[in-house]
Amino acid sequence: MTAPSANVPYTSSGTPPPGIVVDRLTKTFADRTVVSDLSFSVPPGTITGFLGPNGSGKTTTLGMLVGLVRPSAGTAYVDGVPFGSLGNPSRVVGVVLDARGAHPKHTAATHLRVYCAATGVPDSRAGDVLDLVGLSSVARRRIGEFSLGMRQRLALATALLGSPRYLVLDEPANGLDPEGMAWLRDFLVAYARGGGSVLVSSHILREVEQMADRLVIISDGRLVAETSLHDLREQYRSRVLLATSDPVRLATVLAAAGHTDVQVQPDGRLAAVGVAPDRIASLASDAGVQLFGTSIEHVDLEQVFLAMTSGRYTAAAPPGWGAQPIPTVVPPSPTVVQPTPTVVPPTPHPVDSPDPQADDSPDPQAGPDPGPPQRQDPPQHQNPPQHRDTSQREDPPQHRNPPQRQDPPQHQDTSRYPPGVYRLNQHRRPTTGSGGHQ
Amino acid sequence: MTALVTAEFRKVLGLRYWWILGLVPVAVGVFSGALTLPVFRYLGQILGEGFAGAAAAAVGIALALTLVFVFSALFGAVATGSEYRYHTLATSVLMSAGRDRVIAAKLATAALFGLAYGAVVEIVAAAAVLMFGGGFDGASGGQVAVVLTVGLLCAALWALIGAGLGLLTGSTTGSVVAICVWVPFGETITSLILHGLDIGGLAQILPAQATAATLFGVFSGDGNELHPGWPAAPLVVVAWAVVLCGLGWWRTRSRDLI
Repeated sequence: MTAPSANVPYTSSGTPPPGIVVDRLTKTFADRTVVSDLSFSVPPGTITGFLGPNGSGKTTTLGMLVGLVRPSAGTAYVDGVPFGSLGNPSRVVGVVLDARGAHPKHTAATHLRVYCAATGVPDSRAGDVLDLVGLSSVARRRIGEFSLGMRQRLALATALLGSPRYLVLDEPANGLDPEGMAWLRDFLVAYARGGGSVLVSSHILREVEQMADRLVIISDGRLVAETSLHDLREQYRSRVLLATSDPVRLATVLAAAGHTDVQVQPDGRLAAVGVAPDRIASLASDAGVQLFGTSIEHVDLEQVFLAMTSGRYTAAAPPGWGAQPIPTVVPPSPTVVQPTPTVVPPTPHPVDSPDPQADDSPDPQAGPDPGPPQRQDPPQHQNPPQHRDTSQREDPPQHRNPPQRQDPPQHQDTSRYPPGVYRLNQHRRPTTGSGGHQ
Repeated sequence: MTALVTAEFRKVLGLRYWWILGLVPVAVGVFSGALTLPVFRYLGQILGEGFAGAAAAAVGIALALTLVFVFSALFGAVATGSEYRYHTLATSVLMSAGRDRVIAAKLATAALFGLAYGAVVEIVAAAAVLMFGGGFDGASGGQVAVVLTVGLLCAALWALIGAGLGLLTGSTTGSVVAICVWVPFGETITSLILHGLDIGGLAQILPAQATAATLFGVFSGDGNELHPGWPAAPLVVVAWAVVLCGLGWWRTRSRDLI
């Protein structure tokens, strides 16, 4: 993850690079600062997800970028010039900040023809963009009769009138049904492949995870992270949990094969990062090591995002909410890259840990979960006992006598893994034979 | 700039309020022309020859014009205030180079519609006088043309006053209510209060009174305690339009649009 952009204003350090550059933007309303010294960039040809909780300053930032909100300090540039200095901005940047930005008594066709004239494109372009967003059949219908999803599409059509090379979209998935979201995702990906650049905001990482190349994450008006999605995934990689007859030997075999990011868990299982289960099964089979079970723990980037940010508006849980302990507390168990094929000492594993905060076993005395587990994805909560039961049933004896902890603190890198970022994979594939990964 | 004015015209013509607002003064123009001339002809038998035509031209058409001014202002207020109500101003700004051009296009459109309202109503009202009253007895064509020209100017200025008010308040309802209350009641009450305070001279610069002086003083020229004369009267109306448009412009330039 890269550090926040250097807080050096481009006005004093030279010409901004191509693309969209936000340079130390600050917005203060009365005595309340909603955006504070925010800097980031959107390189040409990329889709950048602009993430933050509700009230974190996303819309205000985008408004400042396109000149609808006067910044208290800082500047934003599009291809090196402020938005307000663009000769015909709609030919450069298509903007969707508010799906309501159309008169409800206008028809879709009338609305677009208004802006065809303003943009200086032929009226036939209105039909083209209506086709593009799938609204041709309702071109003569009043916009007031449109659903929010249809208004989002119309707003996007308006933004596309001038065939801009940048798109700035503020939560465009609002109101879209799943089909519409899939369409939007495909459209934006195709748009970027065609050379366009997209800055799309959302408060849900999953909305942009499948299309974004880069992420800019803000919280409370401040930059939290500016990174590529690839880097974020690399930092929070999935890991394979292996129940095996000889963890030490398997770890050695994996390390010899170049897979050094291996760790013995407190329950005796091996946690391997950066290697596919099939590859592990193959190596284990070759080495004569038995695999009793394999499961994959995926990092839930949504939880990473939530752990990075803090919502401005939060409410107390309703009475009774969370009275039952959430059964799956996914372990924030770190992986440590080992330069040599040595067995990594075990780290606390919440599933089997005596630590009551990390224990996911049902506890009738337990109150509402105070921390990240409340943010767990609901589907994860449904089957976790199976995971644990399965492992208990299949774990070999040495799992009940895990290796003694040697020096865990210095191997833990918990800062890399905010609590609750792991999502235990849906499937566990028990194996019974020698090297019998199935 | 032409492209933006075209866009604004399309925006207005795609809705219905522009002709609904224009319909009322046209209807009044028909009836005022048809009714005032026979009335003044009757009075002319008492007051002397030549009175009826001139009075009909001045009062009959002026009555219609008075409504045109009000409805022009309402048009301007609706045209600009609704931009805030429906969040369309932000869309317009994003599609053009800067707010100034959008504001200028909106004001130009309002003024042009004010002119159009005035022209249509004057034609209808004059035609009604000719059809039902038999003509402008005693009034030269030049005098009628001057009255009509001044009426057109005032219609455009009142459209600008309404548009400026809409930009300033950012509210259609507030602007419309302000116009509807001020013109028939507010200004009269204010004028009475000012006269009661012995500063009645200030009442001359109120917009409706200055407009009336512009119309009725076009030939007499001299002002009095109640009305400013020419060219002070039209300049006062122009000043009102400039002040309100300037304030609306400044407010629109400086406010956040989301």
